[in-house]
Formats: sequence, structure tokens, C-alpha cells
Amino acid sequence: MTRTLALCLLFAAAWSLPVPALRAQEKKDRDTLVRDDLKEMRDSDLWIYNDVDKGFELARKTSRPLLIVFR
Amino acid sequence: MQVARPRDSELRKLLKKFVCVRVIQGNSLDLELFQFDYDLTFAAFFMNADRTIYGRYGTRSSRQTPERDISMRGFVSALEGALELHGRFPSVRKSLAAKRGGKPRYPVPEHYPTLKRFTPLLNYGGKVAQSCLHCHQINSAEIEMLHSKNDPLPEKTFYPWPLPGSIGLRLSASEKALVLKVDPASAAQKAGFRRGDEILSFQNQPILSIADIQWVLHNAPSPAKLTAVVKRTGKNTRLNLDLDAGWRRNIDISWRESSWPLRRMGLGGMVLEDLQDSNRKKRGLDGMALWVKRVGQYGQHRTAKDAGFRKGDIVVEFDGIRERLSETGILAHVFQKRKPGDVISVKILRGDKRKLLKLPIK
Repeated sequence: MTRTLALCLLFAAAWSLPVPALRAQEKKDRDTLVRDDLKEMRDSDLWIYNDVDKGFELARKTSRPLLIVFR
Repeated sequence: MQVARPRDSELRKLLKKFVCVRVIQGNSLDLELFQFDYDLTFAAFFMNADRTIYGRYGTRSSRQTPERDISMRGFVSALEGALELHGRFPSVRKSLAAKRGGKPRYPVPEHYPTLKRFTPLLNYGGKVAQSCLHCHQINSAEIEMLHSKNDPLPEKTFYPWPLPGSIGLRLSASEKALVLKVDPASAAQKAGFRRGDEILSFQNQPILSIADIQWVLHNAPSPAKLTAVVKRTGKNTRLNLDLDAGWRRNIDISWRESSWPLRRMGLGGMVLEDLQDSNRKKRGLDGMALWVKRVGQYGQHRTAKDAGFRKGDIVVEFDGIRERLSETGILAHVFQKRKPGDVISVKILRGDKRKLLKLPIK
């Protein structure tokens, strides 16, 4: 996948924060979207979901920098 | 969402070098640590575990195309830059100190009077989406609080997060901070910026993205003297940038989600748009000519409707001002010169007839 395409997906996809891109999908059921997102992201091997303190703790233990995304 | 679910193996490899955290709510956000443009749809911080900020990512200048100022290539460049700073840490710590902001008015958003209904945690068992505090509501809450106290809005609040264009710099979204164009007669041109310059530091802060440039501008006073170091044909060059007292005032805030409460309070719920030159010529208008694009119909957004304004009216005089102003300029006038309870005289053109209407400020 090219980075250009990846970018399109990055910013077009609907996420749980209320953003304009999300509005078209709001009618479906925003609550379900948020819950589904949590279920999917909770098992991620890459991302810590919505827990900044846990991120800082892991960064301290592993000496890695943090990437904190608000979306 | 390729950052969260990366299929690109190179990107995944790069992200694996970070501890990646995704925050989906403004509730209980640490406002002292996480100061960014809250009207963005995507924002990122690169940080050390000791909470030193390496840089920010995320820029927006339009409502319709929020992604035009960002790119995956630019994001990757910023990630690589953050790794480079991390490798040099702690020797770079001092240069990064100013990337953190001062103490905010409130530690968390839900302490604002208009956001008290929100709780620190999302209500996953109930109406979870409704329980989510949107980041843009933080800006709105600050504006509403100052206005309710009859305080004029400081320029930093009214014109937040200036884009590089506000000083005459057009930067590439595909690089960290590469100059594509310098506007003629701008502050940037007077400072000596040139096309092709790579901005390495601004006010001695290492630069990873356009958002880092915006951070420096956001915190710059009016007037301001700023310094930048650019890489030009392999050599580092120091530039001095002088910004005059009104340097922020050409910034457009109309795309911001947080401009809606400004319209509600200051324009009675109207959306105004500067009439295009061709239309002005046709109607013989050369000063203020703001087309009423929308009139709020319900609740607190219907003040202008109740005052007699209609979609399609053209505002030709506002509170005695007749010169050409944008909607942002009108809002700036209201929020710096007027207070709730004031009633403003507005002259409009409806068809061929001129009318005088009275608009209350909320």
C-alpha cells in the first residue's frame, strides 16, 4: 500500500472522537462504533488504548519514546 | 486508519520503536501537558517518558479538507526526527523545555463551567458517544467563560495556532518544515527566508513539523522578535523575524469548530461570507459586503432570525464599520470591543432595499 493511499485511509476513516469525517456514520449508531473500536483496539499489539499513564510507565521501562495520538 | 492499524510494514516497524498511545476523549485531558490546537481532527505528540515534548504533529486550515495540511510522509519525517532527538536525549533537554506550555486556567476540561456535565471517564455502559468531551469544546469553553465575564478575548485566544502563512511562509506538508514559497512583502521575506530553506529550529526549539512552527507562533507576543535557523545549501543560516503588533489579525478562524459559539454569541447565529469581487462589482459595493450565508433557526442560535435577518441579506455596515472586513474581522470587533447585552446596529441590503436591524450580543 502506498503512503498516499495510507494517508487517505488514515484521515478518512471514522474514529470514535467526534470529528466531521465521523458525522456521516453517526446516524448508524455512534455508541456501537465507539464500543467496537474499543474491542478492536484493546487487543492491539501496537497501541495502548486511551491510557496515557500506562504509556508513560511502559516508556520508562523500555526506554522508548512515546507517540500519543489524539483522534 | 493506517497509523492505528498499519498495513505498511515500514510504518509498522517505525511505530514499533515508540510506545504508541491513542487517546479518544477530551475528558480528564491533562491541559498542562497536552496543549495543542484543539480544533484538529488528528493530533500527535512525540515525547520522552519524563514528559519532555520532542514535538507535535497536526495542522489544519480548512473545514472541508482537514487533511490537506498533513501527509503520511510528513508524519513519518516527524517520527524519524523524534527518534533522532530521543537518541540525543538528555543533551537536548534544555532546547525542548519551551515546548511545554504554562499553567492552564483549569487542570482538566471538565472544570470549565460549561463542561461540568462531563465526567472523567466515558460511559461505556450507556450513551458512550454523548459522554465524550470533544477537544474543540475546550476552546469553546474558554471563549464562553471569558465572554460571560465581559472580558475582551485576548488575541492568543481569538487567533489561536497561527499557520506559517500568517507570517508569509508556505511550508510543505510532506516534510518537517520545508519552505515552498515566501509571500512577497511578508515578515518572512523581510527576515530573509527563501524557497528551499529547511527550518531546523525556531526560537531555539528543534522543529519536527508545521505544528511545531505553530506552537512558537501561538506563544509569540504582538509585536514579536523571533529567531530561526534554516539549512540552506548545506549551511546553517540564522534569520531574525520581526512581527508587528497586528501580525495575527489576518488569520482566518471561520473553519474552526470553536467559531460556532462565537457566531452564536456575536452574530446571533449567522454565518457571514465576504461577497466575491464579481458580485460586488455587479452590485456596486466596494466596502463591507458580507453575504448572510446561514441564519440559525433554533434555540440560542436564532437571535439574528428573531432580529429580522434572512439568508441572502448583505451586511453593508456593522456597528458603524463600513470598510471591507471578513467574518473573522467582524467577530474580532465584537469580542474585543463589545460585551453581552450590547445591541449593535447593522445595515443590510435586501434586494434593492436597505434596512437597519438591531442585533443583540449574547
